[in-house]
Amino acid sequence: MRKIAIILATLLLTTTILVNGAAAEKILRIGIAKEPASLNPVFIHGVYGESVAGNIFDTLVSFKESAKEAAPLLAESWTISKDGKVYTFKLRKGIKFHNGDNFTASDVKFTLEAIMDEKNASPSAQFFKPVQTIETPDDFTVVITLTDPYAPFLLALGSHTAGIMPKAATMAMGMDKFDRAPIGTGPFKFAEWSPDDKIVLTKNNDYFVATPNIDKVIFRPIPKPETMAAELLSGGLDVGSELLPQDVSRMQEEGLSVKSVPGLTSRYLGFNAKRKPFSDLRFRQAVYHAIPFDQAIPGIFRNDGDRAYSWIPVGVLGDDVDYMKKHTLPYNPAQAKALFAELRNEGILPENFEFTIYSPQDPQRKKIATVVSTQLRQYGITVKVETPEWATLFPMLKAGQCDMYAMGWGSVPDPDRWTYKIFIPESNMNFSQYSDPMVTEALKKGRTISDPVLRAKLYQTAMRKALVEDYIHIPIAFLKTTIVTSTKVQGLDPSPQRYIHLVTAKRNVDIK
Amino acid sequence: MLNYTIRRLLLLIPLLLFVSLFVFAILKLSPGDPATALLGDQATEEAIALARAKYALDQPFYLQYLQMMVNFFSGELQSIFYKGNVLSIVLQRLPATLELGFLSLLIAVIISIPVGIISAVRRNSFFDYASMSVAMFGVSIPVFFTGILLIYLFAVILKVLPASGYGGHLWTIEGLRHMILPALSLSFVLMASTTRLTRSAMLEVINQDYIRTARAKGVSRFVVIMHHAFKNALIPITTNIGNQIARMFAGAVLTETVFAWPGVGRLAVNAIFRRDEPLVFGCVLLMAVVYVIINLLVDLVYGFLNPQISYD
Amino acid sequence: MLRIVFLVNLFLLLLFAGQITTNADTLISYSIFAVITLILAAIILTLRRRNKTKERGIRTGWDLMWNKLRRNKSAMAGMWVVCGLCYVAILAPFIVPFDPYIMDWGALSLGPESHHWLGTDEMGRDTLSRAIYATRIAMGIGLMAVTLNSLIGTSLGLLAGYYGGNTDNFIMRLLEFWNSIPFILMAIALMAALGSGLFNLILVVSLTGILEFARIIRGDSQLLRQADYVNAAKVMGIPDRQILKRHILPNCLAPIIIMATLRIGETILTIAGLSFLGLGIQAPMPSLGSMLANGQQFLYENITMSIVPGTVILLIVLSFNLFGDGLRDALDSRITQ
Repeated sequence: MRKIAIILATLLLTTTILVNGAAAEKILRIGIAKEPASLNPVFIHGVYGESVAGNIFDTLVSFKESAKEAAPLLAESWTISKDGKVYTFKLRKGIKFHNGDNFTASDVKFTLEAIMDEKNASPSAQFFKPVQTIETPDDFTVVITLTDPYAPFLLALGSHTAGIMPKAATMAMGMDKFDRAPIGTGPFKFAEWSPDDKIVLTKNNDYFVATPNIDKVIFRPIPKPETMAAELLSGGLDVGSELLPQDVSRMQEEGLSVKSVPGLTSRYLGFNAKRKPFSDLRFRQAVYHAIPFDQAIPGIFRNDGDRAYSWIPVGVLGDDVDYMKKHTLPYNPAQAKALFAELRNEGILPENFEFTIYSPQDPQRKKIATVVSTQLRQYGITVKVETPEWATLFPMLKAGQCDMYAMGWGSVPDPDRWTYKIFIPESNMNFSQYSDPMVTEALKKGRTISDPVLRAKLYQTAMRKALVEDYIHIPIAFLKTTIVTSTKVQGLDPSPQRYIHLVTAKRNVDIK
Repeated sequence: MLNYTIRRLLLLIPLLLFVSLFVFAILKLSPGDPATALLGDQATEEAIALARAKYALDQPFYLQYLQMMVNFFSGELQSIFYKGNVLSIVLQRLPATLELGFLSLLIAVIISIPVGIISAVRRNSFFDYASMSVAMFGVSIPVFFTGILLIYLFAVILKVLPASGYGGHLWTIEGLRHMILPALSLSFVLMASTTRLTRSAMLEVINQDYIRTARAKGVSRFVVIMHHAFKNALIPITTNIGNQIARMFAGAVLTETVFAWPGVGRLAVNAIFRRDEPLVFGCVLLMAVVYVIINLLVDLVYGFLNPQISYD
Repeated sequence: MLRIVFLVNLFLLLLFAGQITTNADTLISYSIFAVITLILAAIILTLRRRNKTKERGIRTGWDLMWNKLRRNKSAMAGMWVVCGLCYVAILAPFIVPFDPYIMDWGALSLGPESHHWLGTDEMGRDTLSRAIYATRIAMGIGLMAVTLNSLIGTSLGLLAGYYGGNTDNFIMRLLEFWNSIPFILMAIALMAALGSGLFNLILVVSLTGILEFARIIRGDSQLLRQADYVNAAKVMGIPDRQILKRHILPNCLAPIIIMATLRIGETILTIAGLSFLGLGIQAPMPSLGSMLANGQQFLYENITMSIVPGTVILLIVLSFNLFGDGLRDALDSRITQ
């Protein structure tokens, strides 16, 4: 009898210890709306991959906390030559990759060259186009020479798609394998990827910035926002993102912590500049006048976004809000009617005109397209709304086949990234096929000079011409980044670019 | 019976030929291409051209088809999106779907057969009306809507079951807990049709002479129902379950989306959306094979239940 | 009974006459409704004539069926609801309280109230009006898809059953192969390939479940093929086409009607499922599936947004199923669900 009691007691004790041990492991469960396509920085496109990779990889410089100024990360310090063409980085010593390899200058050279290698077809190769040579005079110095001065170059280096990979391990594995088993220097090690189910990262005890408080991070792709809301409410998730505004306000009522910052993601409506009648300025103005944006935008986005007046987000160099706001066309049905009538009289707008407006499948852009369709119906124009999958829509947009479209853009806080690819005639992201010599010249010049005042002036000129003279796009909104966390999560703040950074120089997320 | 099985399995060859040609044709008819889908919104023309060459998308169609078939049968088909072997990706996901299907089948059978029998025996009673109405409602509500209602009820309000996701295999506690809600939502349609069918099959049998004779001979009511009547009613019920499996596969796509379930249905849908041609190809072909095998099993069970059927 | 319906129809026709010319929608609705009224009148007349000429004792198969159906309460309930829904669908442009497309930005996501009886959605559109229009579209698409579906299924089944042998083998095997592709995947892939649009949607949906249809018709025509009168017709040298059309098809009519009725519910559910995945009827056109899929995102805030389309789907599917079940009981007991 006593024996049994002892055995039972021991069993009880061990289980308690085991259970306690298990409970002591701090696990953070994060819901993401979509599964990333890649975790190999060279292949990553889109915020989901960057968000996860940002916790596995480190970059030379960091924009994680203050989005405007580059902070040292893998590079201790750097100098830029007077002409803006030569960047010299001094690397931090004693850093190890997750597999134990030492971090050296050759890894930096390897990574950047992999991005620029055409064979890899890296989505971020374009940001490194101006790079002429990368030299490594010693193990901890990297010298990068550019063909021309390129103002946003540090941003390119600080982007998560420029996370430094271990040369030897990557070469041994091959780019494709590395994509599914990434190795970096960051706060968390890659542990497991179960497709459509979860991506698991574990703590990197040797992280040089700080030892992470959390032992394990689980990223769970949940395609339906209503399911994600239910998970948060039932305690199945600790962090949720990209939730529906109506669910966010409910979760606030339920006592979950809701944090929100103005974001760097935009929504806009575009016209095709090459196709009739969209090529006619008056048509674009008439559409502008026909839609009550001031009512529709808060209606669609609620607390999730603010009305946009320009391409350049508020607070970014050259934003020019006041001017743009003043020159935005108001809702004016009479004026719209008059303009449409004028176009009909001239034969530019056919009677019973029909066209299609395209948008991706996300609910808000679909709603923008729906509003356009509904409003123009009152002027005798039939608008079909089509929401194809990305793989179908994107080639159409690039080929300039879409008469009108509701799209979006998300980027870093530099005016170049917000304008160059959109308005330059030879860019494939110029879905409107817009081409204006003055705008092109201003934008091309804008990326080569570093004086902020002069730069701001150039972007202002370009935006004024394209948006409130030519009305080629209608800026709709800048979305906020909202994250909802359980009250147990501490220290996590949303980032304007929708990244989820868990450990940086200034933060170390914890869960109680 | 062995002969029959072999002949049924031989039919797989023309089936795979037909399905593969059909899937390939649809894939090639679709606008857009895998390279663009993979590289995303910042890709340049050159990058896309390179990716197209990498995945042999610039070859003529018949070569692409042959290549895909050869790769499929040698197990070498590579997913563009997952950058891995299609077979292993599908096999990795198959348990989640099959377990879910199995559990919902189990739920449906456990609930609907007794309910159907009682409804038949107590015909026109309150129980009969109530269960038939519920069954009617069951087939009339979209699967995705029952899914979200179950999540709200059991996860958000009652907080007794997890809202979504896969928790492990069916036989682990966590796995079972995660599986109950999606299985329940998926089983509604099958439950409804099986209940109704059990009832009508039982009614048909109960009125036959041999049952009445058995009752007249003094065999107890329960034995008559279970041993004589139900055994015969099982035949149409099995057929129905076999027919419904295809529908369950379809329902699974929606259920898996609602419950963020890492199953084959969602894998295939995402593959279509991402234009992951080899994965779509492999997925659909493998699903067709699984479907054929399940149906073969159902047929064999059917023959076991009904000795009158000879496999010719 | 029919006469009352006819009078109601006439009354409605007169009532709505003033609104015909509002737009193309109303014109089409009005003419369809007028045609239906005329058909009703014709039916009343023929029935009356037949009753006069015929002796009371003689009953045709259809009379028997009708008598059997009439005693089935749930089937009759189903039939009346189906009729009611048809009225709603056809007369939609005349009975909606609001334009279902118009957005009222001052009345977003309202619950039921005196102005908007069933509230508004998150873009300020009247839920009742949208539900009515969505019913019209669902019924229209459902009927068209099912008609197409029955046509394909019936002709394949007839050919397989009548000719037998290799033809039979070929057709049935092909259909089985077809069936082995999970339907919703095929629908998604086809919609992706063909593009979204009402016509493509109807086409895709009508391609499902052909196998079940064909199987039953095949069985029937196999039996009929051996009937004496068919043999006689063959001996007389009547071409196969004529035999199929005149002797076999009419005898398969009952199962065709039953299956088509039972199929409509499922078709509507399928379209709803596709809408949930973003592939159904495209915005801004109101559709029950997308209303429900959208409404479930507002489950907490405004539950009427999901209750209304959910109830309508339930009503349509339920009533067609009840009616179809009744028809099956009355006409033919061989078809199981």
